[in-house]
Amino acid sequence: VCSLGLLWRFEAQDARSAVRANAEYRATLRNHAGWPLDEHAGGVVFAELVSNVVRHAPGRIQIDLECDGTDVILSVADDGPGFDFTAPAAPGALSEGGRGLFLVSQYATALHVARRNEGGSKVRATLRSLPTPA
Amino acid sequence: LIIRLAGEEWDLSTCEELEELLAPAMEHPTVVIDMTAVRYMDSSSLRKLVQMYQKRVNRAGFSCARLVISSPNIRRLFAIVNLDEIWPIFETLEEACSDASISNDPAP
Repeated sequence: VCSLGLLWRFEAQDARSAVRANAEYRATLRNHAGWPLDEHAGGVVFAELVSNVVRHAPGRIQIDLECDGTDVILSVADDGPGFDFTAPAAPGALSEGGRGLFLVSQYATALHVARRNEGGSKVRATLRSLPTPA
Repeated sequence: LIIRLAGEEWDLSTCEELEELLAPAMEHPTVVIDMTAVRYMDSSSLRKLVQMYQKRVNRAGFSCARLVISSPNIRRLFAIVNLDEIWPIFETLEEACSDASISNDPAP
């Protein structure tokens, strides 16, 4: 059973910590021992979720990456006002915004958003595996 | 005019820089944006590209920018958010520069 479990905590505005966490996160996906993961899809999920916190809930951010032997799950928690999540529709090509969470919904295989009891939101995204060769 | 994006990653922290790099494209009637080096692009950077498209699309005599994207991951990204519908996308810079099928009329 894969025992992957990593945690990053930093202030969302701390761009240097975000870059370092992103690099460590992607290296972890690349070297995941359990099964091959779609590193690019996982990278998009990470970037969009962290950007979301920077833009809408600046403050402390906590990122967890864990594997339960079946799924690899990225969780991003913030201290912001919280938000109610509805599955985003595909934005029009010329739409000004609305691409961030839509991309997350397309690149993750499952997405769950919850308000935290202590305040803020926690987004859990199940990361995409690479297709196994036939 | 050919603009080459040398950066591999474009995200919230670099999208303002992207806007500055693309600014010359606003003033040139024909432009190719070479994104061969790009490996990651986030929604804030895509938004800057769309804003550039919007600024050009109604200018008389200005053609739609041509994009060079060789990375399958970035092509997939553009397809997911339907941006491949508004831009002519090419695999190589040579193809983008030699394609004569694109008129100087903006895309519909």
